[in-house]
Amino acid sequence: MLSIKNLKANIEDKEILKGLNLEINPGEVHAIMGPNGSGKSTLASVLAGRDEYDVTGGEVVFKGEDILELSPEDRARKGIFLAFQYPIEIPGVSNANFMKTAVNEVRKSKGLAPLDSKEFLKLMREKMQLVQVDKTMTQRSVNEGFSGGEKKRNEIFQMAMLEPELGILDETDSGLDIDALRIVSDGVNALRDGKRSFIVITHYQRLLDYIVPDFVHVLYKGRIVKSGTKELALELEEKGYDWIKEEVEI
Amino acid sequence: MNTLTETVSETKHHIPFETIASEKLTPVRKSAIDTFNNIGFPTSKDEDWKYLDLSPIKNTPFNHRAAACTNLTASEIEKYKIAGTDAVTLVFVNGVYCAELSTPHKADTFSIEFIETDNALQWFGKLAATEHQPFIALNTAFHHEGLFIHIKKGMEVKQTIHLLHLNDARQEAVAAHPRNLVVAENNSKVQIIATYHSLNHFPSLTNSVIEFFVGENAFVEYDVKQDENEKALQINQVYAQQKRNSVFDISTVTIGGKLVRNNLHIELAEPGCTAHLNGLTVAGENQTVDNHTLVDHASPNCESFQLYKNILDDDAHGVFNGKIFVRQDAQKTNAFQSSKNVLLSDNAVMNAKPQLEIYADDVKCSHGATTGQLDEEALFYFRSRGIGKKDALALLNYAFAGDVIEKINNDAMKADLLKQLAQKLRTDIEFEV
Ligand SMILES: Nc1ncnc2c1ncn2[C@@H]1O[C@H](COP(=O)(O)OP(=O)(O)OP(=O)(O)O)[C@@H](O)[C@H]1O
Ligand SMILES: [Mg+2]
Repeated sequence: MLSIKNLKANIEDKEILKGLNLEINPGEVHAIMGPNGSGKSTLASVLAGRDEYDVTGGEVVFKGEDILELSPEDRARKGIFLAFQYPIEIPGVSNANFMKTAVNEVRKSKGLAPLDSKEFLKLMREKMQLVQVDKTMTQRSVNEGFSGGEKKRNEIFQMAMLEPELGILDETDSGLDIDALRIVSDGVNALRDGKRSFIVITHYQRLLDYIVPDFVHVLYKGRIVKSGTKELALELEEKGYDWIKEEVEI
Repeated sequence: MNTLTETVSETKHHIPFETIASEKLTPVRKSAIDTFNNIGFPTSKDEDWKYLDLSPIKNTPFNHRAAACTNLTASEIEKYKIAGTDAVTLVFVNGVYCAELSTPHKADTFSIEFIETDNALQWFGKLAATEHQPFIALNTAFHHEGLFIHIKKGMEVKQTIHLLHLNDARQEAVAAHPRNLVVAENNSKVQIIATYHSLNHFPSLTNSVIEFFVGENAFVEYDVKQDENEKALQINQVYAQQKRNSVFDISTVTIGGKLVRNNLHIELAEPGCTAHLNGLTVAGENQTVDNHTLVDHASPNCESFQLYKNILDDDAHGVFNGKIFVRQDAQKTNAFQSSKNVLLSDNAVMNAKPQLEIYADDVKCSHGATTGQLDEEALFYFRSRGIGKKDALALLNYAFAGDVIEKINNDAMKADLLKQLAQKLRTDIEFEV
């Protein structure tokens, strides 16, 4: 589904991703862990098409197509979704209007008829339940005045609405209380259907108890330096990153 | 045909007022012309007018006495009406009231008569003085069949009163001088809207003056839509004087016109008054829109709130000059002003200038002006959800602008403006408003 080969990316002439490789098959969940500043959010942004980042080398193939030249909206329409580490606030645009526009744009790109108000409300109600978002939240402006946890939950609600093929969750767990963590994880798990894939970026092993990954990778200094199964996360939790840094420096 | 300046100089010698029903205002008109001939048009050296190039007004040979009503039919006017209101629509063609096209009005709550009646003349020109104001002088000289709208004491006017202004410059260059007067007696309540439209093969000038006298505890809302086209020039002067505990709310939404200058002068004359001033400009091409406001806090315990926003594209030029004057007696004044602007192109220009003159010591005043490019972060957020750049921009601009329109209390006017805004911002997105 997603094949990243030797990906290199700069921001403001500083190289952040330094030859990153990653293969993801349909239905798989890949966790990415790694120290602060190692390039995890950069990877997520580059995949979503943020143009502040210059891709200087490598390729990203999604469903057989090189996507590096595609606009962010085209990537989203093809099924890539990024749940932001820091979702921004958009005063004046209601969540519901925002989602209706987004859902219908994605449908249009697939040659589907737009949902009318009734169909849209039905879909929204169903997905609201999934992540236990209440009605007032959908009527409010996108993320405006939302608590940190509410913003994260709203990202997952949007993901549920858009039903992407690849969901990239950038530290969705940070800022969530214990109950919200469970609710959000259940929401993500409900979207696991054997075909949809996820990249789950996190600092905490606990999330991976809920969203059980097929693979765990360590990203360090712009490269994936170690990959393993979910046991790797437990090992990292216990020992930190020093031993990996040592392995890499040798 | 002559240029405006020539016309005025000429009328100095011979004033052709035979078309005017009443002679009562003749001395006032004559003295207004004298005033104009003394002061002339503002120049770029005049601080209050320095951003405006008035040469299209000075150099165009306008007809100041164009035919009223022309041959317009009711159905041609229909499209300018505001949907969803059973408004009393008062139609002014080339600045002149046109009864055939207007809604018949008989109500217990208000009366309407021509401005040249004794009733009206006790109020006429008391706020809009001609000294130092060339455009008011011209209006005072040339206005014809304006209306005096009198809201009776303690009465709430349930219907919206719609002043529908249409300049018909299909045959010749036309200058219109609409002149209206509103007196809202104590404890009365009224919502008035004014819309400005034009039909141009030739240039047109609308030089509008309206005076509001807002009585004790009265509530007056005045919502203005300026929607003339690209050959139209407009100078729009609104004066309001508020008595004790009254509320005057005005919103000015400018979407059309080549050159638009709004002068808004509000006097909070007695204690306990509130005024809201909202402005929205959405301009592109080579439009110039200049909003000058003056809020005169002349009495204690009054509040004023100003929010002016501009979205400027192409070579558009926006000006906001907001003056707040707090007199020595006006203790416990709250006066707030905010100017927020977005430039969508590198050539668009915004000049925002607050001017506070405060002579009382116990006051709360604040002002702020921001001018920015579009918000790249927000744009990326939209695009990452599959919303294309153009639609994302439209939604963001719509949200930015909608904030002003949401402040309008008149629901039909609000809906009309939101709909037009969505069209203007070139979006085919279906908005739920
Ligand atoms: N706009 C920017 N300008 C300059 N440097 C940047 C910019 N954005 C990111 N960086 C730098 O790129 C590096 C990688 O940042 P990134 O956000 O990808 O890290 P991360 O792995 O997600 O970290 P964290 O765990 O703290 O979220 C950091 O050193 C960061 O300072
Ligand atoms: Mg990060």
